[in-house]
Amino acid sequence: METNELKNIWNTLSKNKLIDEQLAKESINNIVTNKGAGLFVKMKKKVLIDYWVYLIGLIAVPIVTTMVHLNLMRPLPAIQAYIGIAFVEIYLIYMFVNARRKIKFIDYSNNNLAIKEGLISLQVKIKKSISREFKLGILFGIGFISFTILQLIITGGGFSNLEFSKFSTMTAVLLIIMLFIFPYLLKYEFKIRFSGITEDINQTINELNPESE
Amino acid sequence: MEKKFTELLYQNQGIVHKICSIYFYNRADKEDYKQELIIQLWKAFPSFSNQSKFSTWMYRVCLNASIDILRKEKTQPKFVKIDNHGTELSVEPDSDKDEKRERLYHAINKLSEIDKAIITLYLDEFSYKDIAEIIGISESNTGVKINRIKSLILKSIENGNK
Repeated sequence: METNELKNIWNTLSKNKLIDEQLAKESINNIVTNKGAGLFVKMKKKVLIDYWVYLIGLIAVPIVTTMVHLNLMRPLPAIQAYIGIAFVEIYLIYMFVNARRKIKFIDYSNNNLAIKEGLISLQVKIKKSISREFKLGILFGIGFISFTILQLIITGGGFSNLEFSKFSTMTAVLLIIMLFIFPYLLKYEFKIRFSGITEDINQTINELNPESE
Repeated sequence: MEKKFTELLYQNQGIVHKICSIYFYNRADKEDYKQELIIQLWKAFPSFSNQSKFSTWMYRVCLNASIDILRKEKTQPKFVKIDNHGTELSVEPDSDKDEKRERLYHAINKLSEIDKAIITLYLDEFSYKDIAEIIGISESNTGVKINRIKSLILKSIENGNK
């Protein structure tokens, strides 16, 4: 089959099948003025619900627990209870950051650039965002673990009273080990979470590299 | 500006329909995809300068937006509705030309996102220079890629898309 024949088939295909309707000028105008009906807007709406739920949750959890503790619980509960709440809070922060990143990703567009340029710009943006999130994760994670270790040591009666039979000392030891493992765990989690999108972009960019005949 | 955009888009709307049929051929809500492409074109319109042809600029924005939509959908898999009944073209079984047409459509649909973009531009009579500019690669690289994609498609058509 010749190239010309291929082009002829394409022309018939385009005219008869690919162009399946004719939009009126009014319809184009309606789409342009009614931007709320767009696909990205619909996608964003779904993520925005998650975003607000997590944001409200992460603000409400510490406020509600503090109010309950101060008004209803006397004496105040043990440190373990606060650790549980802190884990809930960490989960909510994690989900909130995730939702925020998804919204930013949906908003980001580079339609005016050449396809390869646009992909490279997206790759740079994603790398920066991953690196920023990783640094924040390390900072918050190590900060939280260190703070909990200190709390456990203080509630256990200070360094002089450390006994390995005590729950607080054992937890503190486990958390010290966790302190060293945490960066690797976070790196692994990031690898799982972002490998899909980064590999996808890398593969598409590689596809655009020169090939030999 | 809105009037000028509507007029230009109206004259070149075939590009939106074609790209939609190629990139979102098995999606249930094809209208949503067309609308999104039009919205992206409208958003990008202020950057359109008369230095290039409107159709060339339109292809660039639509192809970028389609690849962008597919990538974003991968992060929101729950959002994608696949239409299992809409993937086939209805053709007259006796017509050889229709059969070839259907085979071409399926052969293109099997290609990667980038190859789809290159071959669509090529079949729509864009010059190597324009294709290279839209894709962001060199002209010689464009030529090599077109030859490879063409032989892939021809082989697929001759083998009956097997």
